[in-house]
Amino acid sequence: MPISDHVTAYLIVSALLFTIGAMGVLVRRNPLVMFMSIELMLNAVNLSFMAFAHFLNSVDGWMFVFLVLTVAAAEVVVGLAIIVSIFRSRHEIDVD
Amino acid sequence: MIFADISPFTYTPGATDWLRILPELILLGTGLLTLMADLVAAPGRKGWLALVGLAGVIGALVATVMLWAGGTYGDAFYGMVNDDRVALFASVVILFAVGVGLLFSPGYVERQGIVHAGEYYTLMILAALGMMLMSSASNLMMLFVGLEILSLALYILSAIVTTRRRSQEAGMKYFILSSFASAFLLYGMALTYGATGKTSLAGIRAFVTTHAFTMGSGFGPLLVVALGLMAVGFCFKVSAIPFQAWTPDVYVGAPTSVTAFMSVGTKVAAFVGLARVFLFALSPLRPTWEPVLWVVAVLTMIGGNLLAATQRDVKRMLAYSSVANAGYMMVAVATHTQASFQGLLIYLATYAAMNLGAFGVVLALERRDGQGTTLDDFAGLGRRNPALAALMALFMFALAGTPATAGFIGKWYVFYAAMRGAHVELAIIGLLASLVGVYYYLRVVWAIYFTEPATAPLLVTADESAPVHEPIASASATATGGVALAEPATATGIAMATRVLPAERAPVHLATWLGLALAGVLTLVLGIVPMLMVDWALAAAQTLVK
Amino acid sequence: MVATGYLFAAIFFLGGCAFVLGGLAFADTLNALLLKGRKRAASKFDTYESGEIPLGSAWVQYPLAFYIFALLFVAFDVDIVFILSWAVIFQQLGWFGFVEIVFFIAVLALGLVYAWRKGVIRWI
Repeated sequence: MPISDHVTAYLIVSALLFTIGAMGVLVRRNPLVMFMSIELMLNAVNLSFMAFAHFLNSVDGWMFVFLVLTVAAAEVVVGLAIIVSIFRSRHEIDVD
Repeated sequence: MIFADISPFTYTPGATDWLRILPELILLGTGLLTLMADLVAAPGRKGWLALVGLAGVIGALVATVMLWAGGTYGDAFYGMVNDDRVALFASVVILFAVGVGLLFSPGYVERQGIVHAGEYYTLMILAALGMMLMSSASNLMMLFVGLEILSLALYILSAIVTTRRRSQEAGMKYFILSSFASAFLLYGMALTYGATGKTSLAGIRAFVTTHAFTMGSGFGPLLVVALGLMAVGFCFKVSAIPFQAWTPDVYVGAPTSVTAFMSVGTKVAAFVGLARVFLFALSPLRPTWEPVLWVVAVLTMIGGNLLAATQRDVKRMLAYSSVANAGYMMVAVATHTQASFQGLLIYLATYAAMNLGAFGVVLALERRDGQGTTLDDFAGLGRRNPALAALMALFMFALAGTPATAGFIGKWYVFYAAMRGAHVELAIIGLLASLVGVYYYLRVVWAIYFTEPATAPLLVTADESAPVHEPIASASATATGGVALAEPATATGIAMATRVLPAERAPVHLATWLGLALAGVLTLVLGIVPMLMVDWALAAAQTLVK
Repeated sequence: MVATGYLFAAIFFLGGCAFVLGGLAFADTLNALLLKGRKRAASKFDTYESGEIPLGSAWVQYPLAFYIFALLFVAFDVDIVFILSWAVIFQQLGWFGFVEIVFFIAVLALGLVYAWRKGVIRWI
């Protein structure tokens, strides 16, 4: 059994953050806030990756976190660019 | 010191590693080249960038075929990518899709007045690169990176028509929902990693094979949750019901050339990724995930077909039809035998040919404002443009699954494998659902040949959005400007002559014809002499599903 | 066995939802109990501007160039993750690592060239 009990606390925090993020995406209607919620979800995943990497004593998790960080940044850029582009033509943003 | 207990490790890739990702390297080079070429291209004259991209795609195709013929496939880059036959088969389909997508583009980009034509071609190629990486991934990291490369490129491509509101909304919607799904998939990957301690698919498979799976085993609950999360993520990406909500709006809002490419390419990449994770890495946990995918397959087949049957707009109908087709492919995944995986690959290849073609005809008819794709617009097409009408009829018959077309071959192999693989009920549900499909596909054919266009005075308003950025000066752009009032006509013959359809006044671009012809020929060839492809698919299936 | 697994997953999921919703409900109740019934004065709803009287709306429009700069910054900033992790062990990686990182930076530079030629970097 590769997982020790200490990892549980991190996993619970990560799961809660992920759920809060998911609820945010589902409940809120402002794309910027939805977008922040998605970032929260990704970072919750990062937290569990780091917890696992530490407790499994394996470097894969950290590598994954690097990739997720970069991908999240790229997502920020693309998402905000789309929002800016919509804003340019409409002067209001709302997903409805 | 946190790194103290991890031994220093370096991996220096050799020539084999680079050779094995040669198709991807060629595509990457082409993508960067088109990006730089865009800087020197004169505004408004960017059609040649499509040629550059096409040359790269053909180069990558040649490299893929050489790798297949060479037969030296396997892991590369420390088990990050695996260019096995599955990856090469998927690569060929993806390259075909992006090639035809690029052929569709020049005429369409001009007609739609897409300002960022250079970026458009670059992003098409980079999206294809992401799809190929995803389908050749043998590590969860690579799977995720490939998925994100393709998704990020497609978000922008969906929103690239800056003068059309629907396109931008499609991009936004696709972006939010798809990143949401990515986060689920990623969380599933994290929990899989936590449960097994591995991110490589082979490592995960080895772990779940050697360790008995029970809920009390510490990693059991983690794996169950991980399976669920990953299933949600993948179902989103392949637009399976109940996660299909984004599909119609995005497919309709995005430029049609992008939709054609995206509907095929994303499915190939996501289904091969799904197969790699579920049929290969987590294959020993089959009893756990099989019921979930079974339900998804049934829901998607029935729901997709019923929703498609209610649509009047052909583009939207095709979007729902791609949902329904995801259901047939999901049958192949849920069956989980070597034959069913072979069926999945065959279905992907045949679906690529006919779906690209169908969207291509829609693209040829679409007007500047994104209108002109309803059933009424197809009425009487058989006389106005016989060649286009014949092609559309061919693709519709193929999608309906008529024998001697590609669609029949795909359905045959998937359903036959389902019957032999102890899933007779899936095959029966699939056959009944595709009967609904016959109705709405053939309704288009009916409209083309057996209905007449409306004879009432017809107000054709072009261009809902006055161009903010002055679009490329082209014959088609000027042809669509203004408001044209068609005269009332009594005789149907005159009605057809006077009906103002700017899409037809601007002739279909030569490259679009070429793309349509390619798709049409392939639809017929795969339907009449499919054995070569079937053998290739079998060779591919044997490497993944033992 | 399988059903138990889904049960666990469902319990976790519901627990997560309950935590979020319960938290919201709790905060709302707390708000209602402790903060209700105070006096509402117009000045309480003013924007706090360190004693100054606020002028105009807070929703002024910034030039879009700010956003585009910020986007460019984010795009290039995060790549330091890879450069840094290369720098930690660059001696072990040797020439191959050097070539790799040069290629990596070259691709980034291409992106910058692209942004420059497209006129994004020019300040308004």
